[in-house]
Order: sequence, then C-alpha cells, then structure tokens
Amino acid sequence: MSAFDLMIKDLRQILRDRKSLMFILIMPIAFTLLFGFAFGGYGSPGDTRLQIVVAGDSAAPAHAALTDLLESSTVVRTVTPASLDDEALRASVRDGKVTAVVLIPTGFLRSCYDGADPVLPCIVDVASSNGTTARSELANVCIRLMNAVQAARATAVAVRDLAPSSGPDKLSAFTFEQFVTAFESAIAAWKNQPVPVAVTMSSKLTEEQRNAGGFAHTSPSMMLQFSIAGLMSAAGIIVEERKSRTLARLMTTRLSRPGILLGHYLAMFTQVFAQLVMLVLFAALVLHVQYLHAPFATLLVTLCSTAFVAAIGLLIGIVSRSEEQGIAFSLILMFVLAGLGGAWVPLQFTGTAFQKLARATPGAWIINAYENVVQRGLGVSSVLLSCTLLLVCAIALAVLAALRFRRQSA
Amino acid sequence: MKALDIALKDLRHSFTSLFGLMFMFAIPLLMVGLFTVAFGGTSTSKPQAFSIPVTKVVLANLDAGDQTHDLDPTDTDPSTTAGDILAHLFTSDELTSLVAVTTVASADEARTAVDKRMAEVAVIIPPAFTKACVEGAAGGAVEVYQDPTLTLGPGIVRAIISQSVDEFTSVRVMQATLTKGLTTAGIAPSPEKVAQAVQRFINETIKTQNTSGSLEVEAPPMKQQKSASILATILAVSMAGMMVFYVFYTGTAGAESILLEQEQGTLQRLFTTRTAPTTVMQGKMLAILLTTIIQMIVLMLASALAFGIRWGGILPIAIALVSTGLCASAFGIFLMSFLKTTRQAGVVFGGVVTATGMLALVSVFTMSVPSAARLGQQIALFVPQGWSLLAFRQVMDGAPVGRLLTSAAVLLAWTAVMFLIGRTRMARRFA
Repeated sequence: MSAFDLMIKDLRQILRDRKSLMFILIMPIAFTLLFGFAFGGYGSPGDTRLQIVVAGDSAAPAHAALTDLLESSTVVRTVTPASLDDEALRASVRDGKVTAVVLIPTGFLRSCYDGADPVLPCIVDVASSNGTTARSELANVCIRLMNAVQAARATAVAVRDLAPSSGPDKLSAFTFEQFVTAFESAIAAWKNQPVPVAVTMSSKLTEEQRNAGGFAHTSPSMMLQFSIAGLMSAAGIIVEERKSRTLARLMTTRLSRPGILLGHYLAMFTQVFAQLVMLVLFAALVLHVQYLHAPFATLLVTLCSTAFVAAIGLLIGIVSRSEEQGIAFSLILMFVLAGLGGAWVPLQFTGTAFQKLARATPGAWIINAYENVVQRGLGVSSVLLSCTLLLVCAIALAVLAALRFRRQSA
Repeated sequence: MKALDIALKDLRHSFTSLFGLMFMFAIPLLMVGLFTVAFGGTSTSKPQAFSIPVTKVVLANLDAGDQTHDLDPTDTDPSTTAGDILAHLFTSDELTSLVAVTTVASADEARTAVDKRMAEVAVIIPPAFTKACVEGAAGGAVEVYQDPTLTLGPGIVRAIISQSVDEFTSVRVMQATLTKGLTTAGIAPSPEKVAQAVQRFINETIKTQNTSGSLEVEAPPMKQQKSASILATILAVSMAGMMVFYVFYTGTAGAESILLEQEQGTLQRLFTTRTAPTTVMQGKMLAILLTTIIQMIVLMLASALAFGIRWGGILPIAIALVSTGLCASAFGIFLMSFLKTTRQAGVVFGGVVTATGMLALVSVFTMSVPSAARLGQQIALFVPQGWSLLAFRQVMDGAPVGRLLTSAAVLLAWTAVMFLIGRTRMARRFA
C-alpha cells in the first residue's frame, strides 16, 4: 500500500458521502450569489440609494429647492411617504421604512428673508450606518441650500444699497417675491455646476470586468471560507480511522508514518483543489469574475491556497480527539481566518491597527492575491509574495502535524 | 420528575465539557472581541471612538493658477491658487485623522504610487483647477486615481474635494445670482460694488458655516433614550448575531445526545424502564432549553461587562430569550429526527446550522453597506435564527412590545412546527 492508495481510499470515502458536497460546492456557490446580490450583484440591482422624505409644505419654494438639489445625489433619493402625519413620519424612520425625514418648517424662506437662520429638523438614527451616511449627505445639501439663501440675501442687500431710495425703508426695494426669485436662481445655478471630481482606477480591467456585477470580492471570500469548512469531512476521516483503530492497523503495513500523513494530505489537497477549481470556473464562466484574465496567476494562487488549507485540514485531523472537535476546529478556523481576512467585512472598513494585524494573516493573503488578478488586473508577479507566504505557512502546519502525529503514534 | 432527571443529567454533561463550554461562551465572545478590535474600541467609548482608518493619499498639485484676484486674503501671497488651498486643506491638522498625505511633483508619480500600493488614492489637481473654480470653466475636475478594491477612503477624499470646490462654487453662484438680481431690478452694478458684495458674502458664509449646515438632528421615537453610537450598534448587533448563531448550534449539539445515547445503547436501556418516549423527549427538550437560556444569560452579562453592550429592559429580554431558547431546542430536535448516526450529524453542523446561521448573519456582515444590510435583514427572515436576531435587535432598540411579541410569535410558530415534526419522527423511530 502506498500513500497514493491511501489518498484514493480517502477520496472515495469523501465522494461516497454526497452530503459533504453540500458545503464543498453548493453552499459556497449559494453564499457567493447571496452576498454578491446583497452587495449589488447581477449588474443593476435597482436604485440602492437611501430613501428619505422631504416633508412640509410641498408648494413652498424651499421644499422644491431641497428636492431639486437632492435629485443629483448618488447617496439618497426622495420618496413620497404614505402619510404626512408627523408621528407617522417619525415612526417610518424608527421602523426603517425610510432612513431620514427632513422637515421644512412653515414659512422657512420668509424667516430667511426676515434675517433669521431657521433650522431644518431632521429625524434620523445616527447610531446606524445608514443614518450616518444619510445625515452626512443631507448636511452637504443643506449647506448648498443655505448658501442659496445667503446669495439671495446678499442680492437683497446689494439691491437695497444700490437701488435709488424709495422711502424710509430701503429694504422694500427688494420684495419677498424678488428674494424667492433670487433664491431659485441660486438653486438653479447650483444644479448646473460641473462635476468637481473625475475618478479613475489603478486597474488594467474595464469597470464592467472589475466589478463583475459585485462578485469580484465575494467570490474569493466565499472560496476561502468554504474551502476551510469543506475540511470537516476530510479531517473527520483521520479521526474516524484513529477511533476505529484503522490507523493502528495501517501502521503495521509497510506504509511509513510520513507516508500515511502524505496520503491523507494528498487526499485533502485534491479535494480542496478540485473544490477551488470548480468555484473559480463557476465564478469566471457564470459570474464573469476575471479569474481567467491571468490564468497562470489564478492557478498559482489556487495551488498555494490549496496547499495551505490542506495543511490546516491535516493538523485538524491529527489534533482532534472526536469528530465534533474536528468540526468545531474547522468552524472556528473558518470564522477566524475568513473574518480576519476580510471575507465578511472588507478590511478597508476596519481600524488601522486591525488592518495591520489582519494583513499578516493567510486569509488576507489569499483574498488579496485573488483580488490582484480579478480587480486590479495584475499578473503572476503580483501574487508571488502572497503565494510564498502561504507555502511557508503550509510547510509549518504540515511539520506541526507530523510532530504531533509522531508523538501520538509513539 | 423523570423528565427533570434526564434534563439534569444532560445539563451536567453539557456544562462539564470544556470543549462545549468553549463553544458556548468563549468563541462568541472572542468573535465579538475581534469586531471590537476591528472597529477600534468598546461601545462605552465616546461616539467618535469608531475608528475610521487613515487613508494614504499622494497629492500632485499641477494647478497653474492664473487667477485675476487674491483667492486667499488670509495669507500674504497673492498668487495662492485654488490648488494650493485644496492641498493645504489635505495637509491640515484637522484631517490628519482621516488622511496621510504625501506630495509629489507629477501626475505619473502619483499614479505610480497607487499602482505600487504605496498609496491608496492619488489626488491630481489639474492645471486648470483655479480657472474652473473661479470661472466655472470645463476641464478643471480633480482626478482621483484609486485602488479599485477600496470605496471608503476614496469616498472620504472625494467628499473633502467636493466640500472645498463647493466653497468656490458658492461664490460663483452668489455672483451669478447677484448680477441677475441687480439686472432684474434695473441696476447696472459696478465691478467694485459686486466685489464688495461678494466679500461680504464670503465673510458671512465663513461666520455661519458649520459641518451640519442648518440640520438639527433628532433621533426617531424609542431611540431617544439611547446615547448609542455607530460603534455601539455594530458591537451590539454583532454580539446578538454571534449569540444567536451559537445558541442554535448548542440546540443542535444538545439534541445530538439523543443519537449518541442511541449509539451507546443507553437510550434503549432507558426505554426498558417505565419511562415513556415522550418523557425522554420532554427531558431532552428541557435540558436543551435550560442550556441555551443559561448560555444566553451568561453571554449577555459577559458582553455587557466586557463590551458595554446595553441589552434593554428585563421583560423584553425575557421574551426574546425564552422564545429563542425554545426555537433553538426545537430546531435541534427537528434536525436530529432526520439523522440516524452521530457521523451524519457532522454534515448537519457544517451544513444546515452553519448555512442557516450565516443567512441570519448576512445583515451583520453587510452592515458597512447600507443597501446590502437592508436586503440582508429581509433574507434573514427566511430562517428561525433571523427572527431571533430581529427580536434581540428590537429589544436593544427599545421597540414597542407589540412588535417584539410579533417576532416572538413567529419564533414560537417555528418552534411548534419543528417540534411537532421532530417529535413525530422520533416517536415513530422509537415506537
């Protein structure tokens, strides 16, 4: 019996358990589709801007002005509420039906004309990320609105100063109607400003290729997560062999201890590699994620990731005393490596110190290497560092597994 | 009484297993600890303790200026360009917590720094920037060259540029409005008078400007008592998510003892006594229920102490806790009724419990993207864990009891259906 025979035996055992296919293939595909859809997959997921309500007298010029200024927002969009009742509007924010409600007080523009600085009440939950995002955008738009008010005021003052005197009250030279006209003129000017920023990307791929409908990040992330989850069955085989004393019997054969480990490792390697290749092909051919843009780089990352994940599987199988432990270790490692790697919350949203720590973990290397190919459009040289680090980790884990196995079988 | 004995025996088994204890308590707390470190503090920290990473920016100011008047009267140099003002803003002390700026001489150098991953964003101020700011001329857009995998940092950079450009725009808008207003009033303004009006406008704008404009933020009803920050929300929702995920795991692991006892033969021996299968099931259900409730209480207390999470009032907590405990127990019995051996249970743990748990957690994982989080909350309601998470979120948000009771009712409906199916299948098996 050789290590190769042992590998074949393990693979047959894995394939016989058809239920394991569920989390080797079906779950990663399902979660890639799910997360991809959540992050705006399938090309055009509709209008994802946060819904806000501009309440108050809809015939008032300030209402129309704010609605006009919000039209060009890429963050929020105005919607018509089911009820304009104050309590119902507040409840709609509480219930998450809309993100924010801005109330235009009655006589807002008249107060501005009279020289007051009225505030715009805004009901928003700033303890939520939606609320904070909407608040920030509304604040910017309100600054423009108030700038329009100030421009109208400045016009009023200039007219008052420059117009021929028309009695004791010079302000009458600029009526409220004229003030509103000036305000509306300022709002129209704000709407016609050229875009101040032009965004370009450090990528050799086009925008459509790069985004792949929102799957470019979720695909590598789910591949990492479920390749570790998929180890449950493979690691369980070693545990079962030990429990049923098959391992002890194996050691009475001519197969050496390193040979036994190699056989199990090769089986895990084959399983994970086949899993990753199928997931890469699915993402490339069905979801149009650009893995095949640099096939050698993709293959290299897949091979090194496989070597690392299979080494984890070997160690889990060796150290676990029961199948439950094997499952638990797989799940813990899945959560920790995927979480630290940025599979769920991309690392860009975490603090600087955490990012530094996370970028030193294998999960982050795998996701980063795949992203170099599918988002940055880079080739083999861009993944060499990540691949080297993954191989070093794989060797270290395999050595640990071998040492532990030697002590167990001594 | 026999059911209680069975429950106590199972409880003792659950709480004397070091590995079980780790999975019930240590791992969920560890995961939330990870989130705490990731977002930079505990929820008892000040709201601004939410740690926004510093974005590495490389800036190339190519602005040729060519303005007709001094753009920044506060300095002695009349040749200060709009590009200089923007560059100064980027390097100002106010923004050091958001951006770390390096200045380079050319656009190529700036782009190369991003290509080599030495910077995340390059800001290239074009030669016509001042012209664009002062006269509204085309071709003056600032180029933001960024790493394609990032959105947050480049978004902050774009917001800084937009705000700066808005200040120039407001002056242009004012000039246009003034000229139009005077013309309409039949007044032909002299350039000096317009300049004076503009200066007055600038002075007034600077005096009255603040970061929120004229917005007066009010919290929605039922959230007004909370002094919550985004960080507090992230940690609280993460903790609730992790707790729900691992409670359902405990429910399934607890129910696995039925299979284990069947394999070891102790269940068959129990049936040779006068203990009815229904009593055994009741005992098992009670044990799982108590285990999950103890697990949740410990996790809530520990997270309140360690991370400062405020869980809400006692009565709403009790409603969410009991309905979740019942549902997790029924979930375990339901799943185990489909299995024959503990070996098959591995697939259930890895597949069904993890998959359904992760469906419920989609809204937690996608918190950073508002539209995705909204969709995630809807998807989560397809699994019982999602309703449980919703109940705990309602408790923490101080939602009306009626809404919480609706979530609890749905959880109890899940419980009834799963328990009935599980019990029927188990009864058939042990008949």
